[in-house]
This record gives sequence, structure tokens and C-alpha cells, in this order.
Amino acid sequence: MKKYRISFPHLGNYYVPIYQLLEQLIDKETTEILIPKKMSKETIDLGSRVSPDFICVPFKYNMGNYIESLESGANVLIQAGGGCRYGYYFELQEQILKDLGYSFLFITLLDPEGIRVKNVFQKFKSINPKLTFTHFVQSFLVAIEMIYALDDFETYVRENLVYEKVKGSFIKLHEAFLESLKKVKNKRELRACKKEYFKKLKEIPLDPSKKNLKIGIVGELYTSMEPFASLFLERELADMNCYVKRYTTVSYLLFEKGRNQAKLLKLAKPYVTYALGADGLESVAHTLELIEQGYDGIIHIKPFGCMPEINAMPILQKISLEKNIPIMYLTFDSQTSEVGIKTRLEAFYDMLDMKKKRRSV
Amino acid sequence: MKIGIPDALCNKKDKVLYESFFEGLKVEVIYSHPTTKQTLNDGIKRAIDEECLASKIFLGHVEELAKRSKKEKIDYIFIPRICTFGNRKTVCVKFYALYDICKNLFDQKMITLNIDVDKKKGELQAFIMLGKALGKSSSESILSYIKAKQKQKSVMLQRLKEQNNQILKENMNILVVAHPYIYEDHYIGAPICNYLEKEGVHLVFADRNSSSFNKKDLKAYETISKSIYWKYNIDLLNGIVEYLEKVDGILYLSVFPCGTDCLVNELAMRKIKEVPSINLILDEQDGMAGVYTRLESFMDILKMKKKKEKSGVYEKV
Repeated sequence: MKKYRISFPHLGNYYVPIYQLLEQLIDKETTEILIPKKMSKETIDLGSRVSPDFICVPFKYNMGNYIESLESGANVLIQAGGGCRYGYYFELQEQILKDLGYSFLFITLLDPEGIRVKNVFQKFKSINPKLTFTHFVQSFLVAIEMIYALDDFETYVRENLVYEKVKGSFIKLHEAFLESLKKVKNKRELRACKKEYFKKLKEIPLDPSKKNLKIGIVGELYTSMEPFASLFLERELADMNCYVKRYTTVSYLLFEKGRNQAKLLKLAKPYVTYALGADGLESVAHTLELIEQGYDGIIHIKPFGCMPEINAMPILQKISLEKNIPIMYLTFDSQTSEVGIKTRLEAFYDMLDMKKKRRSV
Repeated sequence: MKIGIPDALCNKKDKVLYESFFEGLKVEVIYSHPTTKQTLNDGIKRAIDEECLASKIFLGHVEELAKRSKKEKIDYIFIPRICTFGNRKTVCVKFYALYDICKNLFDQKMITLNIDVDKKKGELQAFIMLGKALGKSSSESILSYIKAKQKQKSVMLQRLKEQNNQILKENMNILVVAHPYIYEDHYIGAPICNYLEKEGVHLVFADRNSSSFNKKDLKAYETISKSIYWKYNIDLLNGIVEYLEKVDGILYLSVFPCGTDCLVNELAMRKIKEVPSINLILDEQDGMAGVYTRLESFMDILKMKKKKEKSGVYEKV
């Protein structure tokens, strides 16, 4: 068995770029990477058993991932951190896991004030003394490019899933894309892979005549990006012939959010004077943008007790009333039943559908 | 000019500062009445159901002021917006948005104090802006701010001295780890404090500690939590470190679902095992019997422990 066995929590399909990055950064003689087990009911059960009661749900999912990884032999854990409560997760998570009797090394990437490249480098250097700064930066750049590629791909899939002629063709290609992304070694291969799959993606036959509603998803980042945490909300919507748009992706959060602040404040001006914390302002501004673009309805999602999104909710309710646009608020916690969500989605869909038909008559 | 101040949440924490600032500017101040069941019910009607109890109460107070504003000619309702303090210190994001939430919920004129050091809006500057919004000159505001700050300091020092003088060995001392807007609140926290005081307990409040007067104690919290960045919780942790050896028990008092307390109190409870502790989480349900029963048994444990310590006899297990 190797000396270090690294693991990390899941976030949608971003485990691929993370895996890719780690593989470049570690010393293969002493270290191996354990991709955490696929999200399941077990994961959230394990996580919520050891977490504080009313902590937001990403904490519980992370804990579940960690415990599953530790059980299968991991001894180095990675947490991203940053923003709202997320930046404080790691200290308590480390304490809880140590109280449970596990021994491991805990690495955090982001400090609350953002990414400090030097700090992150030092942290990786501690497990791989051979790592050079140039190689570190290069690998990071490849990872960032991969995140962008993945986001672009998934955005295209999300927005066109409803039009697909042969059911399942997007999902099949998506899986193949992830598989080949895992094998990418450097920038050149990444670009070749990207080119190949984007070409295939555009070749998938579409049927634009399919009737549909346009629905925008706004809200908290984890439930937006981890399909398991939102009980496959987007897939469910696509099955109901809805065109889905969502803003939140990792590339948006890491590289565009900071720049956008002034623009968002301007967009949300009549309702909001100051930033609402974390992604609260985004939710309000994007909702206004979606209304402007003629979306039929908006779904606002968050984990239970998510403070910034709760801040945004009274404002969204007012917008909903004044602009006459239906907004549905979904809260996710450690529940695992898709049926409740499905029923509410169906009712929401019916309502939007009736509203649209009445307007067109 | 008349300003209505909702007597809850952050206004409770810096009450003296705000009050004497407005006093210095010769602006009349009206407070909302102490929290009652009605206040809470009003707040619940306005609030999102998942909001924390403390902010529901706050909305109830704003509602009350809004109702009174016409009759009593209140010009503005004062709702501070507290954001960052520099040096990566911040507060719960609820405080970021209080002003905007209230502005959207109530059709009232509101005035704010925007403290956001990371965006180059320090406390002094925020107060100058507040003064400007009230039509006062910068020099008036600065003078008034300095005076208010001094007064706040002397009041805090006074409270600290009173508290420390009464920490006597023969007393039963319990450390209350709670924000002032919880333990001072007439409806949720005060009954619990009164109950304990009636039982002969001397309450030591963790937020009243010497870290605000003594630079040396400012980083005491690091022995419990290194990465914490919520200022109000840092205050509490500083208090825990300062009083840990002087008290017989710790009462963690928080409201459902407090975002910061649920993480920080959990960590503190896991790290501090020297003294017995009890964790009470208050919610909208108003039956207090369950709370008193738990407090009673906690008190029994402390009493037994104290008795044994006094007589020097420890039971062998």
C-alpha cells in the first residue's frame, strides 16, 4: 500500500478535473488517488448521522464522502473551503472525523479571502517534495481549462437535452466525454479531446419543434451543481419537456463572480442596495435577468437553513408578485425521496403550462 | 427628527453605541417594546419559515415600529448593515442583508449604517455617512461617534467589572455562551436567565470579556478554533477561554437554526471537556417546561459535583 492515499468530496462531475489535477501534482511512487464512492443514500445517511442537526446539507454530503473514503483506506483528505459557512467546514469536519477515531491529513485549498496560489503550492509540496512551482502552475492551468470545457459541454447538454431526437444520446456522449477527460495528460490532449467531443455533440440530431416551457434555475451552488443533492431536478425537468437554464458553475464561481459584482448590483438595483452574502445577490439579479429574457418560471433551490439564499427569498417573493412570474422555492435536506419533488414539479409545470396557454388565447 | 430602533439582533449588541451617537446628534430615538408573543407572531408572519428565530423576532420589532410610525411620527427606522471588519473578520450573512430584506418587506423609510471594511467603509466612515443621511455635518458626526465610542467602552468596562466581582468560589457560576440578542431578549432568553438567577446561580456572559480592552487577549480564541472568521462568535470563544477555569458549568444557548452557532458551539463542545455543559436550542415553540426540566437536572449535576469538591470526597467508581 502506498504512503498517501488522497481523497476528496464529490461535486457533480467535477471529480474529473480534480482527479486530473491531483494526478499531475502527486508523486506516483508514494501516493495514489481514491475517487470517493458514487453518491448514494448511504452517503447522506452516514453524513447526517455525525453532523450537527441544522448545518446546511453540503456539510453532511461531504462528511458522507469522507467517511466512505476513509473506510476504503484514504489518509489524506482535501476540502476546498471559502465563502459563507463553507470556509469553516473543514475545522469542524476534521474534529468530528478525529473524534470518530480516524487518523488522516487534512488539506484545505481556499482560505476565506480567496485562493492564495503560494499557500496551495506549499500544501501540496508537503505531500510531494519533488513538486516544482512551474509544474504546479501548469497543471492548475490545465485543470482550469478542463473545468471550462466541462462546463461548456454540460451547459450545452442542459440547454438542448429537451430537443434530443433519440432519447439518451446526450447522456451516452456525456459519459464518454468524462471517460476520455480522465485520460487526458496535458493541454494538447485536452484540446484534441475537447474538439472531438464538441464536434460529436453538435452532430446530435435535434428536434426544435418540441413544445416546451423555459425554466431558469437560480440558487445555492452545491444543490445547483450536485445532481444527487437536488434529487436530479434538472433531469426531471428535461423529462417534462422543459428548457433549463442555470448560471452557477464552478468556472463562474471561481473566475467570473468577483468581476461581476458591480454589474449584478446594477441589475438588481431597484430591489437590492448591498450584496446579500455568498450567492444571494446572484439569485436576485439572475432572476431579474431571466424574467427579462421571457422565461416562463423560475425555480429557486437551496439546502435547508442556507442563510444567503434565505436572505434573497423575501426579495424574490416581492419580484414574483410585482413582475407576475411564478417562482417555486425548493429546499433540500437529507431527505432522499424523489417523489415529493416530482409531484411539486409536475404541479408547477401544469400551472406554468396553463398560464402560457391562457396568455396565448 | 425621530428614529425608531428595533430593539433586537445587532441593535441589541451595540445599543449603547447607537443610542449615544444619535443622542450626540440631537436626534430623538424611539425603541420598540420588549419582545412579546405578539412580536414573535408578527415576525413569523413576515419571515421566511426557515429564518432563524432571532431574525424573526427582529422582523416583529420592525413591524411594531412600522405600525407605530404614523401615530408617533417616526421619520426613519434604523437598520444597520454589518458586513466585514477587515483582517478577514466578518459576521453571519444575515446581517449583510437585514437592510435590504426590511426594505422589501416594509413600506417605510429606513436608514442604515453600512460597515464594510473590505470595501473601504470603516466604522467611522459608516457613521459619517449615517450622519449625512440625517443632514448632519461630518464634524458633528465624528465628534458624536467618538463620544459614543467612549461611552460604549465605559459601559462595557462597568459591566465586565460587575460580572467579575461576583465570580466567587462559593457561588455557583455558569458561563452563558450566547449572543446578547438572545440572552437579553425579553421573550426567549431572559426567562432562562431569570430562572437560573432565582436558583442562586451567578451568570457569567461570555461576550462580556476583557478581549475588547486588552490586546493580549484578542487572539485567545485560537486555542479553540484557528480558522474562525465570525466576529460575534470570536467574542464568545474569547469569553470561554477567559472564564473556563472560573466557572462550574457552561450553558450554550442558541436559536434554531442559527448558522454560525451550530458550527462553532459544536466545535467548542467537542474541544472543551473540563466542565459540564448543556446545549439549549430555542425555537418558536413556547412551552418552557421542557427547557426548565433540562436546566434543573443540569443544576443538580453541578450541585452534586460542587458538594463533592467541597468535602474533598470523590466517589470511587
